[in-house]
Amino acid sequence: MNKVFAIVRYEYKMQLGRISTWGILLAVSAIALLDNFPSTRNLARLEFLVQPAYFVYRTMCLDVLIISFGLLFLLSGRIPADNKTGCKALFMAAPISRSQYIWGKLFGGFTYTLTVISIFLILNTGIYAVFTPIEADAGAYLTPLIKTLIIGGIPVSFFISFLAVTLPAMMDIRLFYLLTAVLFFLNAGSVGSAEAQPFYLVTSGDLIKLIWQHPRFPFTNIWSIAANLTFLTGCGLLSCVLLIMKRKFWRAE
Amino acid sequence: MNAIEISHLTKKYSNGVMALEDISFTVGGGIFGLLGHNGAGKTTLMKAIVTILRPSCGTISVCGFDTKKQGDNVRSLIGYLPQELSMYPSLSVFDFVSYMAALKGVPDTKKIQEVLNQVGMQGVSKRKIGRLSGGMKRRVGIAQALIGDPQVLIIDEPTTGLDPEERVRFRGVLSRFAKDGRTVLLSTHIVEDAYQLCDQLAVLRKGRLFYNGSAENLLQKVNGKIKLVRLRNEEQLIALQEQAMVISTAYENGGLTARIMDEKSAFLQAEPVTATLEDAYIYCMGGKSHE
Repeated sequence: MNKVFAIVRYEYKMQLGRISTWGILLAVSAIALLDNFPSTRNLARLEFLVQPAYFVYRTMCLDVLIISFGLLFLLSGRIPADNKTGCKALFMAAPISRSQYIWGKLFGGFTYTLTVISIFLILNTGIYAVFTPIEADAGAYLTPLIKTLIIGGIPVSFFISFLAVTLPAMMDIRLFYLLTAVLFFLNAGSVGSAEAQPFYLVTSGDLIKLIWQHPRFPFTNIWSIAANLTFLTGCGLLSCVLLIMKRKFWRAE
Repeated sequence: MNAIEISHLTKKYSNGVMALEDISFTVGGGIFGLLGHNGAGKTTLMKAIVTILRPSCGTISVCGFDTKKQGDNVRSLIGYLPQELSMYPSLSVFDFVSYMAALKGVPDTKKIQEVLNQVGMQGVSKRKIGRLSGGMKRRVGIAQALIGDPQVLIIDEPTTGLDPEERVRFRGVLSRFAKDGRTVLLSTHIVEDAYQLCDQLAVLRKGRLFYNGSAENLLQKVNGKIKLVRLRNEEQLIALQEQAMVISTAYENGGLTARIMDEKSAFLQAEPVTATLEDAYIYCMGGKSHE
């Protein structure tokens, strides 16, 4: 277990140490503020922007989608990079098992993705709280924020990190980029709708509607939420199982 | 007990390439050199010893542990430096060695500092790996291999691309390691390194073991057979290549001097010279003209 923690620790440290991580965070924060900053113009444009829960929901649907795919691209080279740099040979010659290596890489990616998404949501909600003209107590910001991190942040981080770490180890990375680009545009075309959403949406499926619901569509479809959650976690787990089962991935034992 | 025992080792890849064929030799304490040109099978053999590759036939034992059946024991006894190792550029030297130390179950900061001292990297331990020179990166590579006090060090082409100063430093690190009875298996195609460091040698040629023994015995094989032949032009050189193994040529005073292997003592007029390990190596490899 200590060896898994060691891999998690250094994967996390390496990813957070990359300038591109912070570049993506700042760039997407700027986009989020342009769209959601509680200025007079934005408040007039967006009917529900006066509600902190709506702000967090909107940030999760649209801006977390962009940052998630940015992180997905950063994480996607982890295992191919080990092959390229010769580090995979070091791992295989060390007294660690295939599952320790894979779980270490996966949870390193997961904790990194969750950290960046959490920082992004906290930072933007903080800016909103400081500049909004509406008076609200701390609970009005904290409750949707915590809800978003649990309901949205964890499954989305799980989906993004597991797919980004495992799939490029099993397929051509260019095909992976193509597939994720398709998924991104499918998602980007459906963000923020009040109507029932397809299960394959990453940050704007019916699961995310648990954070905030449109007053004219106050319906909760449990099956749709379950399907969305199953898609996010199931894809992550399936990709992980496929990698664990892949022959010729590790030393022959 | 021998540190490494290789018996009838064969490795055939799934694409049909026979990388190693019926290799048998033993490695005791000290520094053992594995020589051979690119593609001779050195890296495949090393990967099989460190348990990354599974042999098609034959056995390898490291300190008495079978690499197929007791892989975990073998991995806990070895330090390995692969040929291509560029590591993680965003990690510091200390973090990278600590990472590898944690994988070997040695989370001791003092031990990490010790190995960094051994390779002369203590002063730059906080520097990012991406900002190191090629020689410094190789030193970090050897530091991670030394962590955990391994009994056997497997080093694949460690000095390729290093400047002479770094090569001398590298030799010093390996000599100190092997001083107290531990084993270094060093693969190289730089004969000078093998000559300076190794007590025993094995030469691989096209996946087969061509020679196994001491450097002195290898030299004996070619002693008295190396000669210098003075030539006037390239036509004479071409003609000479038909009759003898030409090891090297040098252009001087408007003519040519060819260093040849005169196995059958056919060139009586040629000037005999002292053989070097490089001559012996080229002889093992089948000669320059045959490459």
